[in-house]
Amino acid sequence: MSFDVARGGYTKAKKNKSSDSTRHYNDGRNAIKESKASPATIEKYTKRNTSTKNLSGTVLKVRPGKNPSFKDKKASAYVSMVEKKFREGAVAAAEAEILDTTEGGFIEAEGEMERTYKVKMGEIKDSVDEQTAKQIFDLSLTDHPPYNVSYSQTGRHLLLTGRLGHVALMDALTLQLKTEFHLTHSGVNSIRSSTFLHNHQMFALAEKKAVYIYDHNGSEVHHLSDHVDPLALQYLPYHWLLASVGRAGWLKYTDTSTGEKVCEHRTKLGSCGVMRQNNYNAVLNLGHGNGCVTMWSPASSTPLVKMLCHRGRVTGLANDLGGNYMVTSGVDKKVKVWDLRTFRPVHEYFSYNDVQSLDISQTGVLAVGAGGGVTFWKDALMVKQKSPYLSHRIMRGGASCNEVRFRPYEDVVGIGHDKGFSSIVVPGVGESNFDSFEANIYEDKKQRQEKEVRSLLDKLKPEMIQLDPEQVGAVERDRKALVMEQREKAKEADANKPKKEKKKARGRNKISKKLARKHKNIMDESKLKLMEKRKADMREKGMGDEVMTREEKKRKKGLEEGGALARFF
Amino acid sequence: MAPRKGAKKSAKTTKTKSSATKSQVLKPKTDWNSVLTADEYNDRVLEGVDDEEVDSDVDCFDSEDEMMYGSLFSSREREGDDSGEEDDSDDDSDDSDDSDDSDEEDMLDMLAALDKKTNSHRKEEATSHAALKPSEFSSTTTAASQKLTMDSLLNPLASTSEKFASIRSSMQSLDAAKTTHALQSTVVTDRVSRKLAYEATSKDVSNWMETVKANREAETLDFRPKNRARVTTNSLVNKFTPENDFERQIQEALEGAGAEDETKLVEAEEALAAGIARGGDDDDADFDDDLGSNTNLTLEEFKKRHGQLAKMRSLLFYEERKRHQINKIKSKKYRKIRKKQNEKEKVKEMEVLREQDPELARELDEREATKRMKERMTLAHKNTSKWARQQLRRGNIDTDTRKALSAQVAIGDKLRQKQMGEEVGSDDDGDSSGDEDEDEDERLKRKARKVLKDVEGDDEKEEREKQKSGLFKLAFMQKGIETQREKAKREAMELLDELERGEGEGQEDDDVDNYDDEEEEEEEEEEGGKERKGERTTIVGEGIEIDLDDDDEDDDEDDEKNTGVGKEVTRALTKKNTKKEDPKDGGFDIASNPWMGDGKMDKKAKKKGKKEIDNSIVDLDAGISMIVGDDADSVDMTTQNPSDDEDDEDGNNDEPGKSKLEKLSQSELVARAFAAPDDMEEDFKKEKQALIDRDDPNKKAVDDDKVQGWGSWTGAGVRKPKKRKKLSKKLEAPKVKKVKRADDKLPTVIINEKRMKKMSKFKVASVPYPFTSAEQYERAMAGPVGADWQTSQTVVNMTRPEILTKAGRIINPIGKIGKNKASDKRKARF
Repeated sequence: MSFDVARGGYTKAKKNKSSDSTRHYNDGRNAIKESKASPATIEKYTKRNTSTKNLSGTVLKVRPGKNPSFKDKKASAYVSMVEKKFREGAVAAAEAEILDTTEGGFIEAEGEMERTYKVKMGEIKDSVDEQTAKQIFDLSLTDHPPYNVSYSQTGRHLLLTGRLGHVALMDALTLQLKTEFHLTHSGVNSIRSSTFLHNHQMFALAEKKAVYIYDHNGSEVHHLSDHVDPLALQYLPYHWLLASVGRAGWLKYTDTSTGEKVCEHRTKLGSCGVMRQNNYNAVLNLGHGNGCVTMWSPASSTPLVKMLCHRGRVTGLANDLGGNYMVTSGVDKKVKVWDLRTFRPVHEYFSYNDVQSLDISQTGVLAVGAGGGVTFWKDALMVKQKSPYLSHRIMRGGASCNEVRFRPYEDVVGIGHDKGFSSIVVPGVGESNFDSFEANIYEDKKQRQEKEVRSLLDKLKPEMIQLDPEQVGAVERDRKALVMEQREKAKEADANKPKKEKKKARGRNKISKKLARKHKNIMDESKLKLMEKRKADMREKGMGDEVMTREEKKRKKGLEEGGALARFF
Repeated sequence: MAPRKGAKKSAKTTKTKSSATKSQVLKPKTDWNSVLTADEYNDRVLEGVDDEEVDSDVDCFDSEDEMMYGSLFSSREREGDDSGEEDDSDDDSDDSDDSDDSDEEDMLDMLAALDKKTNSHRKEEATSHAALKPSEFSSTTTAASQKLTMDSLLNPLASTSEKFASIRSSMQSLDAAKTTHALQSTVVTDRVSRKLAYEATSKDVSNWMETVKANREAETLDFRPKNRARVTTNSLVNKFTPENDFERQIQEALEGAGAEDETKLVEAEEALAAGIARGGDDDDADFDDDLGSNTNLTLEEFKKRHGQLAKMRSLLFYEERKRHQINKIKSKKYRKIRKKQNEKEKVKEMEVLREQDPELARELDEREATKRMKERMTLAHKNTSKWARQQLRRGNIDTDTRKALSAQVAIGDKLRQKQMGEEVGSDDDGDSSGDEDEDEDERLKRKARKVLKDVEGDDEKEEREKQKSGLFKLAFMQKGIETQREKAKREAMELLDELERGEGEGQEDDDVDNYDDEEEEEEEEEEGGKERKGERTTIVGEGIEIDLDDDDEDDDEDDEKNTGVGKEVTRALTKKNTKKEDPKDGGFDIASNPWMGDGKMDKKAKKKGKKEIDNSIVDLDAGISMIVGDDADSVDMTTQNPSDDEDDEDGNNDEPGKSKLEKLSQSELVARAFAAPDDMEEDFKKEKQALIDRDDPNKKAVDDDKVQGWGSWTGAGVRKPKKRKKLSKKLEAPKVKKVKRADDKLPTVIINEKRMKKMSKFKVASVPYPFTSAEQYERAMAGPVGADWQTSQTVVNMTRPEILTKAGRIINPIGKIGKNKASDKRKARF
């Protein structure tokens, strides 16, 4: 067995058909032809530009590189100029990949008889370098099982949460324990789900009562009492939103930068414990008990898409990094791959064991945690595979998998199960080149702080979440509706204007009366004197010491009555 | 024949021109190839003017008319032709005569034609002209070629006699003299000059077309100065020549020291470096330089000095750090104490100064005193406050107010007295300035104690009781007084505390250190030292043990190994927890529902016993049992994996049909096992249909008739309302075409097509200006521009401004790009 380095990822892509040599003007295509980067790589950077969906879902047919033949010369010249720039940009980006010095690779079988899934973790451990071999380990934690796993966005930190109340924050690189604590405060200790927030300094736990946020020292920072009885958590890093869904079937979003609840949606589909986000558009995908998967945005109180995926409860759900594919598993023992551009199933697999957890790595490897084992499927999204790429038995002694998560930017997979936690190495699953602006694995304190501020400044509005993110800044197709809305808004603004006070010359609201009312309650010397005098007069009249002014009577009465009113006297 | 031809031709030309405007009629009939001069122009125009009437007349000509009067005009036309011929053949000088000639000729021709009583056909006429023999009676010219000119008239005279010599000569002179034209109307001349001017300028302007076009099409116009000389140190050094004496001196000195040449300098540096290397470890090159480049140091000396310097540096550094920390302290209390210390020091310094330099000391004292005086004089205890003035103005002052006022005055008096006393220098009691310098602390202390005593004193209470009249009797006043009293007490206590603490020797340093320590502690807390965690978190320990040697077999051993201290605690804790925990509460409530539950745990438990024997093989197979869902394959897989098969059958419990079951495919088995799914699909379909119906404009709302009492009376004995007549089909609203949905072809998918209102604020209502369609706009906006997606060069390229200038730089006027090609001249239109 050898560990040949084979470039993973975008291996095949269509060549640009329209690149004919008849055109002579420089529209950026020459740059593509002359570029040292492969057309496939360039395609990768241009693919998002090629089509835009409009509201009705029809795709505007825009071919890349075709000179726009619009009536208006100036506009068409501008569009072709911009498109040329985009093409050149794509070429430049593709060529800049030369700076990506590290390469990822998968295990490759030598000869036809060898199968990669027969390789055991021990063999891998023997053949990888020491640092990587360190990542293969098991933690036997039998007191608070089963365990959930979540990695921070940089992949540097690992959060282990035992259902029965054990929380451990680890540095995944140095394997040092950062914090560990046991939950005692919430009557019934039960951690259903966990997630890091914007960085490893804070993480959220879904507990029986509510969602709690802890800092890296393990002290409780926030208690989100709105999120009642949550079962699943997701954090949307670009919107700073923490979302939870629970037994009551309410999906709730909280802005973690302001602490305000953004919105809550009633799914009307009962208890829900499966929720994953689509990395491409930040839409949350929920798997329900009736086999449906629903997709949600804070902007809409009804699901954007509802699809019947399984005959029976949905047990697992995962999205690929590009947002084109979704994989679901159900109690009907099927694992289905869906194309989210067409909402059709691409193909489906069958599993003997109930699938507990699904995840898709940065390079598109699908992990299926079922029963006591985890299998890894390479290139399984686009093409149906006959056999897995790698498989792993967790432990002997009947441990069953609870949650599988890929560690970002590393070939490491964390498996939480009911005997503890296992970390294994699966070559080729991590993105080998990280973007330090996006997720810096080696970031120091200062960089982390900078990043925090920067990402706060770049925070997106929750309403921007929708199936096609390109729609932000697009032209409104339903113009009529928009105009009506704007009119309504203007009306509302008018209604909220403070009314101008009338200058009345007579009646109870004339200016002198108003002033008199204002001064009625003011105690000044003259008034006191007047009161004294009145009292004296009364006394003279023979009413004795019991003489009291109106205020005093009132006060006495209040004190006698006592209660809440007394403090006003 | 020739003239006739010519006549025809010219008639044609006039005809074609007739449809055009008058201005076009003006166009000369002959072909001019070359560019005209102004004079020529005028000539032609003159001709044109003459022709104009005729030409315009031609418009109404028919062929019949032509037959009738053609002969009249034919001559004229012929003449026109002739004149054209003349133009071609003769010199320019002849041109000037043309107009006169033609007039005369016209007349003559006309007369000739009239003579002939023109009724005949034109052709005939022509032939008759040709056939006519020259006779003395006919004054007409015999042929077209024989033209009547001045010469032809005068030539016969030449031979006759001398009589006509005078006439001839006069005629000749007339011939030779240039005749001036009559003035033309300004309209005409202006028009011409305009035309010429337009042509000239359009030629000029067209030279700029390319430049302007290029500028318009350019993405950015760069007005920054080009070919800037790059200033480098080298260029500066090379250019340098000493200009004044000072510079010259320095230059000489440098040269004297051997720095005139680069190479020499380098050599010298190398030599120096070598020397240092010899001297010892060359950590500090500049250290040696400080010592005057003395390379003769011994190693010991060097080390000693180096050590000294290092110590100095570290001391300085620590001092700097300390200052930095101290400067950052924000505590008011600390600052207060610090201030007091400074004051004390100042006093001490003053005393020293008084001994050493009494003059200066006195001066300083005076300065201080005047300062204090000024301060005191501006104090407000003079009953001049707003409140006091108001009270005084009222006149009718009650006792309390008077008390307050007099108290103020008293304070003022006291202060003034003090001021006076200071100036005089006579102190009556220890409170005042004499002791002030020495023992301000003491004084403060005494005061504070007094305040405390006052506040706490019992006798005060009695006084307060007494005071309870008038204003002071009111609750809020009392409350206010109370709070003031409290405040005073607290402040006094604090002051006392401070002073007493500050008593001891070296107190300042202690204080400072204390604050420092506190700060440090806070910082440490923020850092979150690992050691401190124990205090805060409930349990700390080695609950996690990392097992780096991955042996599949010894899991049990692992369990045994994992017994840290923390472990026991956690175990104890979990026992407690598990007691409280309802196991169903922890996860889903699914165990009770056999279909919805995963049932995995139960299975595992059951399997455990059987499977443990041949774990290694079967388990792996189970791990990869997620196979291609083809029926044949799955059947194969079931035979391979009997244990799993059993599990599946558990759901069925259909013992007699076991053989049948084996024949069924896996998917069929699953379909059987799950009875509910059909309902699920039904439900989904219904839901989708309801949604479609809701949006369908053709679907009618609920029938009114179905609900009794709506739109009619109801109850016992009421006649049934008449059924409403159905509208005829013609009168019914036209059916709207069914709206297409994105999920029409996807039976198991509902795509929400409602417009997202909240999203609309991130959209543009109409296509922005330079674009004419949404497609254009969206294509131009389709790509990413930010640095997150593009290389830095691309980002710069994409966000470059339209105009690049440098502030303060003059932008030169526009210049031409390249050579100007003669572009197509546009024709003038007037």
